[in-house]
Amino acid sequence: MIDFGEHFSMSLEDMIEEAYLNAIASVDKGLDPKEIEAAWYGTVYPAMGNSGLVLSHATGLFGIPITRVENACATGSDTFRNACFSVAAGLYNVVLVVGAEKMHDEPGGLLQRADLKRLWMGRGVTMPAFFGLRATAYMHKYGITREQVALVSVKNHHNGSLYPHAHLRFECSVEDVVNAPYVSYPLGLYDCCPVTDGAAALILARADIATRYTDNPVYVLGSGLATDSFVRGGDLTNFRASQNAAKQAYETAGVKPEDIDVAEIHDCFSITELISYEDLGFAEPGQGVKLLDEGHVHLGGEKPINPSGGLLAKGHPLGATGAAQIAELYEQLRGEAGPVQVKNPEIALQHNVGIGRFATGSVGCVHILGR
Amino acid sequence: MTSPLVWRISRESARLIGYKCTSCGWVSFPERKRTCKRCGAAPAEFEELQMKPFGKIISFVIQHRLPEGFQTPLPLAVVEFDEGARVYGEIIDCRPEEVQVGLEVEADLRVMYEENGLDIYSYKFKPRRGSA
Repeated sequence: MIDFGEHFSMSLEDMIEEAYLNAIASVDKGLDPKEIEAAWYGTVYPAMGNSGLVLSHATGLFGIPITRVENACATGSDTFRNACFSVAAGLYNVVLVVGAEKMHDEPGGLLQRADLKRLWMGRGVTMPAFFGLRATAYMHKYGITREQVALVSVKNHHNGSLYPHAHLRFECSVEDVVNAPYVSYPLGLYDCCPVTDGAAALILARADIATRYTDNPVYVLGSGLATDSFVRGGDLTNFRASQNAAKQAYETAGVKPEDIDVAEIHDCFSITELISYEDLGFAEPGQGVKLLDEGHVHLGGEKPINPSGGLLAKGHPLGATGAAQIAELYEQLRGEAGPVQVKNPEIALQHNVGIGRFATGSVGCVHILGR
Repeated sequence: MTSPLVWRISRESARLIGYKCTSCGWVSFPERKRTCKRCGAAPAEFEELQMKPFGKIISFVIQHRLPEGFQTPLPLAVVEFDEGARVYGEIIDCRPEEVQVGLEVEADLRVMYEENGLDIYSYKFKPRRGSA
């Protein structure tokens, strides 16, 4: 991956090029680009057109299949998922996955999706509002305060302050979080992830030939993907899309939530991480705050969550996010995560939950990786 | 001229007409559907349902950052009509501090925006007072 941040001087293709070169350079025993048989490219906003051609131009890979994937904030992870299928099906030996997003080229940004000129669907429902509606429902049902929700931001900004690729590298306190200007009450500025450019690339090889490239491979153990909509009912204190994706991933991997040693999960907003503890089976409904109170999910805890600083500190370039989480967990499992390395992890979980269809529904995606 | 997006749902939207799945009771509003989004029945049998303009707030936010044309702070809620249909709606005719989970609201026909010189009407929600 590349450093996440405000890359006004780099185009979308410049970022992809750098992520690609970094990925190739990171292969222990070397990789000739000619060995790449196919590629999957995830991006949400087609800043340079909506085809796979952007990836060809960024990498010089022409004449091979390149597929563009888009699936809300789960774009990066669903891109990876589709590439996994091709390798698992025995079609290819080595494939490339790239997730990238240029968030700073359009001044209007995501806000414009909550357009006034719309009836019912999405009218005035910005991304902070979609998750803020979850926050209000969750806080109301379980008697949770803004100060308690803020513990997520405090933890992740601490981790981000240590993580070299993070966009925002400063710490903040509970007071900073609750006193920040409101974006969408009950969410304030520090409850929200920043607007960030970024790209991440991954090389995926068939498990039985992985040792040609490294003596220390990371394996994909499980994967899941699901959708849901708020119009179907339920109390808005969870994401069934995440729950169903997690169930599929745990089942395919043959592991349980308690087996997870480290996780990079979707904290686009503070509340999202809190709810996701429960959706992913790390805490009982309404009990997520306990994991923060007890330091269980902090860097030195039993199950560190978002050692990278998460989306809140590292940034959330939509299409890049899931791919970057997988790159980070790859480093964690290989013991290469430097200042944010957790102690000897063996099984890792990656999770995204995005919103789609004019903010009426969600897309959940979960992967489980192991050494 | 009305945009196709608005025109397609204009009858149901303006008259609060929903469609109730006869196998699970899920209500689709304002779109007429042929498959059920709760039980997955395909094809599903739907009964046309005249909804009343009453519901309650399931959750809400107070919007402070919105695109041009909106006035902030703006209370925005998930409203569940008494018949079960769920929608997003602006809460009007009250102070933001009055908005809370469980508040009973009434749908009120208002001008939402102007397009090509034409006022586009739809519903906002106000607290249900007095006669309720």
